[in-house]
Parts: sequence; structure tokens; C-alpha cells
Amino acid sequence: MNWILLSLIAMFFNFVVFILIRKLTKRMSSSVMSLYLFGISAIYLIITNLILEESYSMPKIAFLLLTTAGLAGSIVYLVLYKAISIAPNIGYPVAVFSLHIVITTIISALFLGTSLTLIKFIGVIIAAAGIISLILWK
Amino acid sequence: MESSKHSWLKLTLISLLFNLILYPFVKYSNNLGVSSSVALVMYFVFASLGMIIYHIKKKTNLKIDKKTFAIVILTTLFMLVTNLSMWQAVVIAPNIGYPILITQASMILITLYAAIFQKEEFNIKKILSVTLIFIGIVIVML
Repeated sequence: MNWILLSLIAMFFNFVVFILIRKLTKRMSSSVMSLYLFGISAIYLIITNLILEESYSMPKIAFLLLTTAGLAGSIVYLVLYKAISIAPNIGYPVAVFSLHIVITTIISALFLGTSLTLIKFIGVIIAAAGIISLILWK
Repeated sequence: MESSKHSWLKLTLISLLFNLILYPFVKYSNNLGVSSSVALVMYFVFASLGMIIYHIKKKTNLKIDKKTFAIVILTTLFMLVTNLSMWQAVVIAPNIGYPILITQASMILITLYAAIFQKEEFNIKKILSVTLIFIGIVIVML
């Protein structure tokens, strides 16, 4: 499957997740919800990968990077939820956080040697501006 | 008021900074031969560990009722499809930012859903924002 189709699938299911998360946040705190979602996802994927006999052998550096990414992930959610809870408008932290799309695109081109044409970079900027304005104007 | 403003901004920037390492690390690990599903397991396991430590320290009550648990299970399934698709796209896309952008463009669907089913106002500002997102992702996908 190509990356565009995979991204569009992710976009649609991200929308479904958002609707369900809105329901969940009325029933439980965001930090407890995150623990359940991440924990159950981990258990489900471990079982699936066992069935599919996926190999977990990897270079030490990859293990270190992914461990760091996981721990960073917990910090991202816990700290962002805290910021949302104290901000005068919940849209502000989410809008600032959305800047990660543009920065990640630049980091990818600078440090991972991936491609980035000027026209596509303009596309990223336009779409990110749309996302941020949509959040702030909500 | 001023201190509160700085606090949320500081926290958001910390969160942003930590988030910036995530996808480059996944892409780099994939270059070293780690599949996106294995990388996702590692991510979920260690993120959960971080959250467990936080909740133990905070002595949070983690009990939830059966209906909430059912919604959690359903959300988890959809979240897994989202993440598996996006992570797979991240490792094969020409730039890791593109799939992240397209996934975040679900804001268009969320806005339309709110306007149609929740009768939320769909004003000129929202139309302009949705149009910008749409134009942006079309350019990225070309």
C-alpha cells in the first residue's frame, strides 16, 4: 500500500478516535484514559506480533531510541493535558502543539535526508496554518 | 494571570519538544531494520510504563465502569488502526511530516461532523481554515 492511502486511512480513523475520545473524556480524566488506551494497545499488539511471529531482535541503538520515544510519548501526553487544563483557552496549547507538523517536516529533511521540495513545504505550511486557525477559531 | 500564561506555554513547548523526537526515532529505527509494528509495541509499552509511574506517584484511582471500559476497547481498536497506518506511512513516505499532516487533517472531518450532527456553527472562518487544510494536503499529495 502506498503512503498516501495509508495516511488517508489514518486520517479517517483518527476522526473516529476523536469522536470516541470526546465521549470518554466526559467519563474519565484524560491521563487515566491515556493509560488505558496505551496499555491495552500494547497488550493487543504484543499478542498480534506473537501470532505473526514478528522478530523483536534489533540493534541496541534502535532499542534505546524506541525506549526513549515511548517514555517521551508519556511525557508528551501528560504534560500537554496539564497545559490544556491551565490554559485560558484549550485551543491555545493544541494550536502551539500543532507546530510539530512543520518542525518534523524540516527535521526529516535536514537530519534524515528525506526529500522536501519547496512546493510541498508550502503545502505543509498552508495546511498547518489551516489546522491552527481552525483550532483557534473554534 | 501572566504566570499562568507562561506556565501553559512552557508546558506546551516541553510537550512539543518531546514529540519532535518521536517520528525521527521511528524512521531511524526502521532504517536499522525494525518494523513499524514492533516499533509501535515498544512505543506503547514504554509510554504505558511512564504513565503507570505517574499514576502510582499521584495515587490515582484507576477504576472505571463496564460501559466506559467497552468504549475504551473500541477506541483502542480504532486508535491501533490509525497508528499502524500512520507509522507504516511514516516509514515509506518521502518525508515523515507528510503522513503526520494528512492524519491531522482529520480536523476537516471533525469540523464537518460537528456542523452536520451537532449543529455547530460553520462560519466563514471555519470554511477558510478547512479550505487551507484541503489545499495544503492536495499540494503534499501531488
